[in-house]
Amino acid sequence: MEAWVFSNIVVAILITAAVGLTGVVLRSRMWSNAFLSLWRRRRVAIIAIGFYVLVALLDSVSWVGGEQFGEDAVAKYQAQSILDRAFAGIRERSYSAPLASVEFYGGAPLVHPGRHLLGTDLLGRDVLHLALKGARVALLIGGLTSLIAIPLALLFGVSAGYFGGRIDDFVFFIMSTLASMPGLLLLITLIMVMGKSTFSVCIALAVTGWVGFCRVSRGETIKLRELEYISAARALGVGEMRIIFRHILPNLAHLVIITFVLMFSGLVLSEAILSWLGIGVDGSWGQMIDQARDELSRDPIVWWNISAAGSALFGLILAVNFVGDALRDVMDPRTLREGE
Amino acid sequence: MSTNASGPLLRVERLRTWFPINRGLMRRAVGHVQAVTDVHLSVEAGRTLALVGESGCGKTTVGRSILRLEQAQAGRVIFDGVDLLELDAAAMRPYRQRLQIVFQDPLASLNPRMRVRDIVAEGMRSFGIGSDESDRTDRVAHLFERVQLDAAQMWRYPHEFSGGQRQRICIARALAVDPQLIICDEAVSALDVSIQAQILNLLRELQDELGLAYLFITHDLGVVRYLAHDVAVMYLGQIVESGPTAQIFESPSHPYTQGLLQAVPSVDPQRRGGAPPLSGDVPSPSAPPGGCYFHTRCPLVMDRCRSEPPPVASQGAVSARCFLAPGSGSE
Repeated sequence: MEAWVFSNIVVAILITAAVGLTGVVLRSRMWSNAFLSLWRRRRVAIIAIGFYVLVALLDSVSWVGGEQFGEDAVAKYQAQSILDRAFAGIRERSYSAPLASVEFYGGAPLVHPGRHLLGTDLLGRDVLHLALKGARVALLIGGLTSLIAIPLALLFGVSAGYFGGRIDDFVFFIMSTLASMPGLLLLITLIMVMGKSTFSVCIALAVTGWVGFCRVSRGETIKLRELEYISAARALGVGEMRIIFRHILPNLAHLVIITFVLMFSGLVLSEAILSWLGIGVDGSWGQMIDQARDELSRDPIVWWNISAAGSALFGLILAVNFVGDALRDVMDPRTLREGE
Repeated sequence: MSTNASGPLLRVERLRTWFPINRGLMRRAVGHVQAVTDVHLSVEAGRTLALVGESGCGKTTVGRSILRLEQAQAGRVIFDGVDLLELDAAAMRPYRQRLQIVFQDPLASLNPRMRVRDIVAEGMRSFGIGSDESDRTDRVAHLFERVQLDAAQMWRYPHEFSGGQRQRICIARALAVDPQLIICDEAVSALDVSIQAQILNLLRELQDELGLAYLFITHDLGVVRYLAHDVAVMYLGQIVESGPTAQIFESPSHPYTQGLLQAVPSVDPQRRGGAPPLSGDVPSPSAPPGGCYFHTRCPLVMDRCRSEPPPVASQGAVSARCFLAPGSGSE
């Protein structure tokens, strides 16, 4: 299957899931109240995240062909996303400053004077376009990695906490081994072994990132295991698996959400560091920052490239951290219970 | 579900549950918390036995060991003629339906993420009671009426109920599988006195209607006198005295029981004063004293108590673990 078809399908699935989830949230008074109080606390940050998500979705729906590419043979026969189409055909020959009408070096007139809100880069690409495209990569890295790391951490953490004994020893051994290795070296090694691709970067980040949440979920499971409703379920002859799925996991749900949000920003930052080392994902903000490094040593300085990527990254991280912080208060089971 | 005609419904013999204290790399046991050392109990069908004692004496562990929520090291738990401690998990399952438990903290015993209807129906589902979900819902509604709750509230979550209502839900959950014996582990201790009385009355009504037997674990002697037919007094993992409630309250033979009864505040000015109530703390269960376990706090301690564990002396229906008890032959 072509990559762009797959991407369209994923977008369709995500939108369906979001609609379904909204239905669940609206039906449960507990969750909708949690969301309402989150909205009241962090309106701007939620809107900002919504904007990033929207941009990422616009950059994920793509198809081949289209009038606006004209004679550009490469673009014409490659899949182009909605975002690409919005920025189609405004390429320059080289650097131009934000909103300029002439090239930065040489002063030759631009093809589209004044249309580049954030200027263009060495190859004449629109910087705003590139910065917006970075949102998709960032969300992909954060989302996919969490999707691998959190179930892994839950599997190991809950089984270690619930069954204890040898399983606990085993999980703890793995966790301590991973924690004793320098994270960055392990990341580089894993990416070198698996080859450079978006997926292998996600796997490498997941392998180094699951330990923290595993420890948290293990501790929480040990606490829950001793509660009387678990004893009552055992006294009623309820099976171990059902106890884990009905009694333990639902009571870890708030932790999963909090961890997801807090983990997310860390992952996006880690990818930026990897890109800076040259092993990141193509099209990410980290890569833009890495490529813009040399431009800082030019005279006069080409500053708009690095500042666009940096601000986009900063904005997302700040918004996610703001929401994550508020989420921690909102999702606390005690406040949830009272607020319902 | 026939009850063995001969003998009590539940008989506990020489039960011992020690928790190992593990230290070091190899998890070697360096000692034991001797929560339950030597417990004998028997509960007749349709009757109530109260197990009383101070905090930390091992009462709760006895209840949990009977249900095999804790692993007992030694002894026998004979329910309806079968030793539960010898059964494997699969063979134990049918007995779980006949033995139920109600805990002290009604909020901690209800999963906050489940609707109370699902909480009460969980045991039915586990044992295949009821033909389908709607039949179970009807049964839950019936149980709600039985414990005097509004059946319309069964789709709510536990936190939407008051403490007394939550304890009624816990009782309904236990009743859902139609048990013969319910272990009430401090079941009213966390409640207000007025609510306590309602729950105790409910438990008594249920006993009359359904012929339930209770093992009532408590530290509240007022509750014991109100509810229990028989009493077993526990101290540091051992039963020190047991017998019919009236007799024990009238003439306690063990110094510990005497101390406990004197510690109960009396409304009758004539009965105030007398021997000093118990002083000092319960010794650590990981290092119990030699001889009689009670000698460190006993007002009537003799030299022999410090070296020699007293035998269980029986006279009539009462038995006591003391050299001074009637029937010990050593007065």
